[in-house]
Amino acid sequence: MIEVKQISKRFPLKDAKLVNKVANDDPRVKGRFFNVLNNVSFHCQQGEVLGLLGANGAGKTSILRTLSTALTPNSGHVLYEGLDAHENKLAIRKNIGFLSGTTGLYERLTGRENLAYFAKLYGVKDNDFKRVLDELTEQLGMASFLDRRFSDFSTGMKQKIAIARAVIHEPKVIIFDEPTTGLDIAASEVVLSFMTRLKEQGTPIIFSTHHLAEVERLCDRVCIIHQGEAKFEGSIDELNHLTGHDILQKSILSVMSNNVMTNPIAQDVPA
Amino acid sequence: MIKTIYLKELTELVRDKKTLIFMIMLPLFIFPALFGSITFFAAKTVQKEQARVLTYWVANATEKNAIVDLLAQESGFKAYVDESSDSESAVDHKTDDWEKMVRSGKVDFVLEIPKTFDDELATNVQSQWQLHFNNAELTTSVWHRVNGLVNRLNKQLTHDKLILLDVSDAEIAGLVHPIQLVKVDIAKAKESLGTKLGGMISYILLPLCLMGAIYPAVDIGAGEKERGTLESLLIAPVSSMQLVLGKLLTIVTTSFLSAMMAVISLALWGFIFAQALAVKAISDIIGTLGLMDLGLALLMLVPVILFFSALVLSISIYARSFKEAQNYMAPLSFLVFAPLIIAMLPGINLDWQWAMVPITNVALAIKEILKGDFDWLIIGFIWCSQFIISLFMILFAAFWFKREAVLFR
Repeated sequence: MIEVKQISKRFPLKDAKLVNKVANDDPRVKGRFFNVLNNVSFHCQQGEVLGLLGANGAGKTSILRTLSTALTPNSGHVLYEGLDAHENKLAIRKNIGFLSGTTGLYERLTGRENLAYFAKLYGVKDNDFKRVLDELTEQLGMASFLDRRFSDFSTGMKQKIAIARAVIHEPKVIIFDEPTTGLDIAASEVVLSFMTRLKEQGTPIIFSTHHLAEVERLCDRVCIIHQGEAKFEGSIDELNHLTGHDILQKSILSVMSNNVMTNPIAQDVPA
Repeated sequence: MIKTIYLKELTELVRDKKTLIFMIMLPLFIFPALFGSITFFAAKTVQKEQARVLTYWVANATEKNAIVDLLAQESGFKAYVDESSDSESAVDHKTDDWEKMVRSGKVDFVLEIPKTFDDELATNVQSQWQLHFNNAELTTSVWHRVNGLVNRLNKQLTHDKLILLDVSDAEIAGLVHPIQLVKVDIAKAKESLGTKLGGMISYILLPLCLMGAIYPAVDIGAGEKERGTLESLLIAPVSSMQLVLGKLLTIVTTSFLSAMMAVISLALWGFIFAQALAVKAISDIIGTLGLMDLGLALLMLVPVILFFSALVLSISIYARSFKEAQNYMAPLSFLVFAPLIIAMLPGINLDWQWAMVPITNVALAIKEILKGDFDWLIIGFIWCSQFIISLFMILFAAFWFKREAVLFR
């Protein structure tokens, strides 16, 4: 189980022009700091898919980077099976499969070399690497380009290798940031089918997306992030029931515009 | 883990065309070809100027003036013949005309001899001759060549006069040069070669080490950031120290290889252009200095290379992009050259005071080692102090790799 307990994260605003530009509009700007996350809490159970939803700049990527331990929160905790992620970074990282929209791979290496490199970094044994690579090659359809240089790949090929990189060490938790952005229908379907397979295997997945069809297809529950705060956490049915809409898009917009505070964990955890 | 990162970084660098150009093609082929061509053309130009026939005009010379005969006999000089004018005296008396002749290129020089020269010579009064030539082009050899002739004439005239005074040849030498200073150099061949080569090695190798470190550092620091690969690395179960050491070793390797490539290039091209000569020169250097001392001199470079590598890696990881990193790196070369220039200044010798100045101390130490007369204590102190500074720089780089404000700028 993954528990996110009241995490907050702020960045210094060094650019005076930026301060002046956003200070009047954005409540997250406090003095010379930008509070990108404010007491965000949610959880994800074993075998569950949790969708992080929200507008651009809402703080979804910062949350996912914090979950991956790339960012350390200023306050709050991220717990994996009760273990604090930021106090046990190296151990936790071995169990996380993270993919962000900006994650790149090495262009001068082949797809296979890229995967072998990360497998070694994650301490995967040679035999296990061969087995997992064979499985992933088949599931993601990578056989035709696996031994070509990464720089020669199309966007879809790159994303397939990036996904394979994220799961080459057979992680216990999957964190994907907009995994289908920029992909065509066929490539998107491969990614979504792969995520479905992971879900069926009982791997918890937290992912962000702007494609609501993906949310309806994959997510057991959703968490709506608005201006650095978690505004709702629950199932799609609960969301629609709460807002009175039967269309997911309208429900999300309703939560974002009404600033409805409906996060049970945030309310339960003492400050 | 460090080995995995190191091998991957090296593989990537080797596959990069820019690396091949900057690290192999440039020092091994392009720079030597460039410098070789420049040296060749410069030598040709000087040679051509030395061999060029200089057209001259001697003003006010009487028939018995020896300079007229001397110029006529000397190859490389040709008297000017004014075909347009039948009156030589028209040219002879006007300084303006001589200048015009030189400026127009009719003659390369006019040697103006005072009309009173014969009387001056007879009465032992020093005569002043004027050489009119255009010295705007610094390559001109007029002064050098005419001065040589006049010196020969001076010697001859002095000799003739002294003979007339019944002075013997042996006495002439004592009379003209009562004292002759004879050079007796007590410096051993090793000391002499070590001083010259020591300064040169530091001056050439240290900047090359820095240059060899900059490109890979930019690629594996800011380049990773720009390409989005850094994030994948940061979420891997690898400590920042392992990450830094893996990358640092790559930079150290390329830095060292880059300096060695320059040395190999010099030896290679020397061998190609002057085969036997180059082999003899190299064997002379090794024979005189000794492999042990050369090895020790290279060992002095190790902590400096470590320091440079950690420094450029820290700068590179701070930069947002390749371009920004290159901008930050530009002033670094000044920081290296300034202490090296100090080390090359005459009178600057290695003592405890200079041993405290980073980079300068290493350059001076290399010089002392190659001279063969060095204090182990001071050399050991410099190596250790530079190594400790490098360790601090490496720790700083590891700390830098942990900072979100640096990594996610």
